Amino acid sequence: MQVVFVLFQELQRYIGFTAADEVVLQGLHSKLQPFFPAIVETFYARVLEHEDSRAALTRGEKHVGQLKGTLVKWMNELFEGPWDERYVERRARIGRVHVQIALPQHYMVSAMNVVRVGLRERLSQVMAEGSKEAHAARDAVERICDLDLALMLHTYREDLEAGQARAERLATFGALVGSIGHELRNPLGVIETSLYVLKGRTTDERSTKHLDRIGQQVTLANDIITQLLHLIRERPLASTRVDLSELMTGTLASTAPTVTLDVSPGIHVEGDPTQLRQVLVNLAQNAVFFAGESGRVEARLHRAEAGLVLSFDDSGPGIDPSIRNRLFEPLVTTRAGGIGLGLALVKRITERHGGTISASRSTLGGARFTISMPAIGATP
Amino acid sequence: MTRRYLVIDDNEEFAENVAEILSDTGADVCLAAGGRAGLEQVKAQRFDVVVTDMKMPGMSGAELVRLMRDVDPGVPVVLLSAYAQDSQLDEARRYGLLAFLNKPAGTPKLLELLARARRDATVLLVEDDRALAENLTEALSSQGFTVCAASTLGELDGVQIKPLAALVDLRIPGGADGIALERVRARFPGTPIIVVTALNADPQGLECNMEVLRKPFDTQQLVERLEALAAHEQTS
Repeated sequence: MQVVFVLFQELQRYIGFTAADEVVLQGLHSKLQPFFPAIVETFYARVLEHEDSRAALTRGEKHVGQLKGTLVKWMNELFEGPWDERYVERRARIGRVHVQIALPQHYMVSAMNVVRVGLRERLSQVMAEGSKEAHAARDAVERICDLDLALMLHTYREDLEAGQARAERLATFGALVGSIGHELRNPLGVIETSLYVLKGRTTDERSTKHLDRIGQQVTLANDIITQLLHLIRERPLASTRVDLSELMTGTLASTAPTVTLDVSPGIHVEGDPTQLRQVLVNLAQNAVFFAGESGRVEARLHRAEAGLVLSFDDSGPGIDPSIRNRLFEPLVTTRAGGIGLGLALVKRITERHGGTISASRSTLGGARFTISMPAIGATP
Repeated sequence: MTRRYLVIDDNEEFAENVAEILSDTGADVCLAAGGRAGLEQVKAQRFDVVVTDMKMPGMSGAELVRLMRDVDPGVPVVLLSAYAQDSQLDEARRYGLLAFLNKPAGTPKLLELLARARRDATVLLVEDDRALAENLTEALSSQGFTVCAASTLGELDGVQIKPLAALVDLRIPGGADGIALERVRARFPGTPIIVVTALNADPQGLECNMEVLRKPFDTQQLVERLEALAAHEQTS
C-alpha cells in the first residue's frame, strides 16, 4: 500500500472522517453541483489577482480555461468519492504539480480557503440554518477539505525535499568534478610543454606522427575538462541580440553540413551567442552520430506562439529506454566514447535563456529534441 | 639584447619545461619554486617578464604580484592558472598583469606574449563594463602592454603603479560621473588620460593632457596612440 494512502487513513481517524461523512457528501453532491462553476470563477479571480500565483500558473502550458475544468472535476470527486487509493493518488499529484510550477506553498492554503468559504455559503442557501442536517453537512465538508489540503501539503513537501536532495547531490558532484578537473590541468600543462620541446627536436616521421597524436589527445582531454567546468559553473551569460536563424545556418554549415535545414529567417533572441552555438553544435553532433552515415538529420527553426521552436530530428535508433528518464542528467550517455555532458549542457543553457527542452520520438524513426524559447518581438 | 625571464611555479616539471623552451629561444631564464624565492630574485635582478603560477603554497600568485610591485613596478607579469575563474584573479588584475592564461596555455601563444612584452608600459584601465574591459585587456596584452584594471572607485584607490597612460570610463560604480577622472588626475598628476565615453558632448573638466575616445571606438587606433606614448617615454 502507498505510504501516502496510509497517511490518509491515519488523518481520517484523527479528523474523524467516517463512512457517515461519505454518505453526507454524496447526498450533498447533487445539491451543490450547480454552484461549482461560480465557486471556480471566484477561485481563479482570486488566484490571478496575486502576482506570484498568477506568474506560476501562466508559466505552465495549460490555459486557465483548462484549469477551471480541472477544478470542477476536483470538486465533483470531493463529493462523489470513492475516497480510495486512486483518489489519494490524484490528490497527491496536485501537490507535485504545484512544486513543478513553483507555486509558493502558502497559496495552497489560501486557495483551499476560497473553496471552503464558497461551499459554506452555498450550503447555507440549500439547507436550513441550524438544523441537524446542516451541522452534519458542514462538518463533512470541512473534514474532506482538511484531508485534501493535508494530502497536497504532504506531497508538496515531499517533492520539494526530494528536489533539494537532488540539487545537493549535484552540488557535491560539481565540487568534485571541479577539483578533479582543475588538478588535471597541471599535468596537462607539463605534457603540453614537453611535447613542444620534443616536436622541435624530432625529425623522424613516425615519432612526429605519434607526438602529434599525443598533442591532439591533450587538446581533447583539456576540452573535456573545459566542458565539465562549464557545466558546473554559472558562466556569466552574455546578453546581446542574437540572430538565431543566421547563427543556426552558419553553425550547422560549418559543423554538420549533412543536416537538412528548414529555418525561418530573422528570428532573434536575447542571449549569449557562444552558448547558443554550443546548444546547436551539441544537438547536431548527437543527431549526426546516431543517424549514422546513411541516416538523415533534419533541423528546424520557426516562430511559435510564445517565441520560437527549434528541433532536431534523426533517423537513428531513437532514445534508449534505459536512460530516457535521466537523459538530461550529467554523465549519462549511450554514445561510445561520449562522457554524457552534451545534453546536460544543452538543457542548462536552454533554461538559462528562459527555454525548455524535451525529447520525443521522431517521424524519421529516431529521436527528436525540441527547444521552446522566448524570442524578441514575440508576444509571450 | 638577451631577454631575461623568471619562471615561478611549485610544479617543478612545468617550470623546468618552460625554462627549457625559453632558453632555446636564446633567453636567460631563472627559476623559483615559490613566491618568496621569486621575490628575492626580482629584488636582485631586472627581468623582462615574470611568469608565475597562481596557486602555490605559502604565497599566491596574486599576493606575489602585489609585493613585486613595490620592488619592480614596471615588470610585466604573466599569471598562469589551472583554474579558469580564480577568486584572486580580479585582485591580481588590479596590481597589473600582462596576461592571465589557463594551463595548459599553449606554448606558441605564451612565447609570442613573452616576445612582445614591454617593460614599464602599464596602462591603467578604469572601466566597469566587463566585456569591454576584457576585450581591451586582450588587445593591449597582445601588444605587450601591462594592464592595471579597476572597475570601481574602491579598486581604483588600490592601484599602486604609476601608469604610462590611463583609460578612464566616466561612469563607474562608487561615485558620481567624473569622480573617477578627478581621482586619477589627483593620484597620477601629469599622466596622459584618455577618457572613454558613450556620450556625444565633451565631458566637463577636460584638460590639456586628456583625449576623448567615444564608444564604440577603434581599438587599433587606441593601441597606436599608446605605442606613441611608450616610444615618447623611452626617449625622454
